[in-house]
Amino acid sequence: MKKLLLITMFGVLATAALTAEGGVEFSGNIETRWGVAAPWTDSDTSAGRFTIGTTTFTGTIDAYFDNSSALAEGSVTYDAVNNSLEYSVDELWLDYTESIWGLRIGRQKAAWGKADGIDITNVLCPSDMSSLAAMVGDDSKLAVDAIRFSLSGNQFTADAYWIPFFTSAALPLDEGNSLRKFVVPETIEIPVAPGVNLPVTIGGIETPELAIWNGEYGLRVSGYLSAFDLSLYGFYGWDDTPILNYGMTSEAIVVSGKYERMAMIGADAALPIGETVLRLETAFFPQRHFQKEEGGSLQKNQLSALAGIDWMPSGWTLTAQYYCDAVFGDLDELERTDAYQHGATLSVSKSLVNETLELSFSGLIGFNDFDSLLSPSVKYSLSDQISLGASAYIFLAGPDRDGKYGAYKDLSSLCLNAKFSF
Amino acid sequence: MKKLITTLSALLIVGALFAETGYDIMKKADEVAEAKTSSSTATLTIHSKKGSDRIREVIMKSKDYGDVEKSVIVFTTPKDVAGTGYLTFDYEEEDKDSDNWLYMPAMKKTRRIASSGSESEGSFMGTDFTYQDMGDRSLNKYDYNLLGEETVDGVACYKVECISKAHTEKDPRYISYIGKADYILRKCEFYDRQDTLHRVLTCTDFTTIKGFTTAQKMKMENVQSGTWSLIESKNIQYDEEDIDDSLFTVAALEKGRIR
Repeated sequence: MKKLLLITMFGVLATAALTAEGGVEFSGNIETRWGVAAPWTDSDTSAGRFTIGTTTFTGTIDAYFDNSSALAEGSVTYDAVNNSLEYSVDELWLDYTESIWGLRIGRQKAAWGKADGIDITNVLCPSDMSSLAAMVGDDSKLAVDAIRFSLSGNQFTADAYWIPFFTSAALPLDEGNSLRKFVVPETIEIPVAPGVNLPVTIGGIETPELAIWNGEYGLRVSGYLSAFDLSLYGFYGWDDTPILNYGMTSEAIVVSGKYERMAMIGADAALPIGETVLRLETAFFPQRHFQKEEGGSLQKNQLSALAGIDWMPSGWTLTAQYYCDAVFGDLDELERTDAYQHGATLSVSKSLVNETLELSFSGLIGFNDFDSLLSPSVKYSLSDQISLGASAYIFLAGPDRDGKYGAYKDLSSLCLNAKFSF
Repeated sequence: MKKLITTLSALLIVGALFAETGYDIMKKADEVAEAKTSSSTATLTIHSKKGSDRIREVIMKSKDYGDVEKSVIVFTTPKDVAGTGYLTFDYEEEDKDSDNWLYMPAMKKTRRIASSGSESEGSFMGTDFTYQDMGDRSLNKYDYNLLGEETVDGVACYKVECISKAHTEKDPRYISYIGKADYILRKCEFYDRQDTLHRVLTCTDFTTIKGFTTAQKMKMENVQSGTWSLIESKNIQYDEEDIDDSLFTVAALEKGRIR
C-alpha cells in the first residue's frame, strides 16, 4: 500500500512536471554508504562485520507558480545488512506565501535552534534512530504532518505549527536490529531469583490516539538584527521516545511503552563578534517524564543549554560547543544517574583544491563519563555530480563507565560512501 | 619670459588645487550611480589548476534603501548545493560592518556569518572571489595613493593604490584601475601580506542598461595557484520592478522564495 502510494504520488507529480508551463523541477540523488565494524571492536560479535550497507534513491519534485509552490520528496532505501527495502515520504507539502504571511500544509521538516549536531530546542521533528546509517547520516530528522502559518517582516519572522498527527522517533526495536540492545536489554535478571535471566520481548508501544485533542503545537519567533539574531520557541506536544514498562510472564520479560506529553520553552541567539560568531541556546522542559529504572516515569523539570563559537578563517571552519543538561529533584528512582550532564564538541574542516576536497574532524566528549565520539572524514568531489567519501565513527568508552556514547563502542565503524546528485 | 613662467606657475598651482587624489577617485567610484533595484542570473565558472571547469548558476537580486543595500544570492545548480543562499546587508555608514547570513538547505538552517576579518576573506562558494569581494569595501578602512594613469582594454584609467589601515587582511594592498571618464572599475590587482601579486580581477563586456554601465563578465585569477573564476551575468534588469522587500529576509531564504 505504501509502495503504491509513493508510486502514485510521483506519477501524479511527474505528469504535472510534463504538462505545467515551467516552474517545475525534478532533482534527486543516489547514495551508497557502506560501513564495517572497526578491528578493535569485539572480535566475536562485531569486528569485520558490516554495520552499514545502504543504497538510497531520493527524488524531489518542486513546483512553483507565483506565490504558490509544492514539494514532494520520497526515498527508497535498500539495506543490504538487513536485506530490507524501505520506502518513505520525506516531505510532501503545498505552500502559499505572500509578502507578510504564508501557509504550508502537509508533511514537512523544520530545524530549530542554533546548535550543531546537538538538539536543545530542536524538538519539532523527531529523530531517526532506527539504524547506525540513519544516526550518522546528514539528515537524521523525520518530517511531521503539520500546518505552518507564518508571519514575516523585514527583520522578524514567526512560524506557528499545528501538528495534528503524532510522529514518534524511529527506534531500532525490530528483531535482529543491532541497535535494539541499546533501547531494551536482551535479557533481564529476575529480582526475586538472582542469577535467573529472562529474555526480553517487545510488547505494544502505545501511541497517542489520533484525535484532534492529541495534537502538537509549536511556535518560533525570530528576529534578525545587526547586532544579533534572536529566536524564541514554544512547544507543547509529545515526547518522541516512549516511557517503557516491564511486565513478566513465565517465559519472558515483556516491555511495553507509552508516549507522554512534553512542553518546552526555549531561546537562541547568534552574535557576530569580530571574526567569530557566538551562538547561545537554551530550553526548559517543565515536568518532563523521565524513565524510571523499574519501568514507568517520574516528572521532573529539565534545563538544557549550549554555548558555541564559529570561526571561519580562509577555507577553515572551526566550531566549538559546550552543552549541559540539568534535571532538578531527586533522581533515586530514575534510570538517569547524573542530575547534571555536560560535554563539549569540536569540529574542524578545511576545504582544499577549490572546494573539491574537504577534510573534516568532529569530536564529542561527555564530561560525566569521559566517553566520546570521534569522526574524521574526507570528501572528494569527483565532478559537480559525484562525490566520494571515507569516514570513521569511533565510539570510546569512559574509564569507569561506558557512558552514553561509549555504550556504542562495538559499533565503531569505518565507512565509505558515494553520492550522485542530479 | 617672466610672463610665461608666471602663467605656467599659475597653471601648476591651479592644477594642483584641482588634481584628484587617490581618495577622491575611489570616493567617486564608490558614488557612481547605481540602480535602486537589480536582478540577474549568473554563471560561475570555477577553473582548476588542472584545467577542469566546475559550473555554478545563481540568482542575484539587490535593492538599495539609501542607508543600506540588501542583496541576496541563491544557487540553482549544481543540485547538491541548490537552494544555498547568501543574504547580505551592506551599510552606507562607513564604520558599520555588513550583516551576513548563509542558508544551508540540507540542514534547513541559517547560519550567521561574521562580517569582518578572515571569515569575510574566505572563498565565496569555492570560487577565487571572497565574501568580501561580493560586497562593498568600506572606503575609510584604506589609505589611497594615486600611482598614475594606465590604459586597460583601451580605456584610460586612474591607477590607485589602496592599502588597508588594519594590515590584517589576507590581501592588505590592492591596486584599482578606475575609468577616467566614468569612474567604473576595470581591473584590480590584489597583493598578499608578502606584497606578492595574489589575485587579478578583470571586468569586461561592459553594457549600458537604463544608463547604468555594467560589466557582464568579471574574472578573478589567482596568479599564485593558477586557478580562476568567472562570473558571467545574464538577464540583467535594473529598476524594472520594485522587488518585494520581503525577498531580502532570512525567512525568504528559508522558504525558498528566491526563484
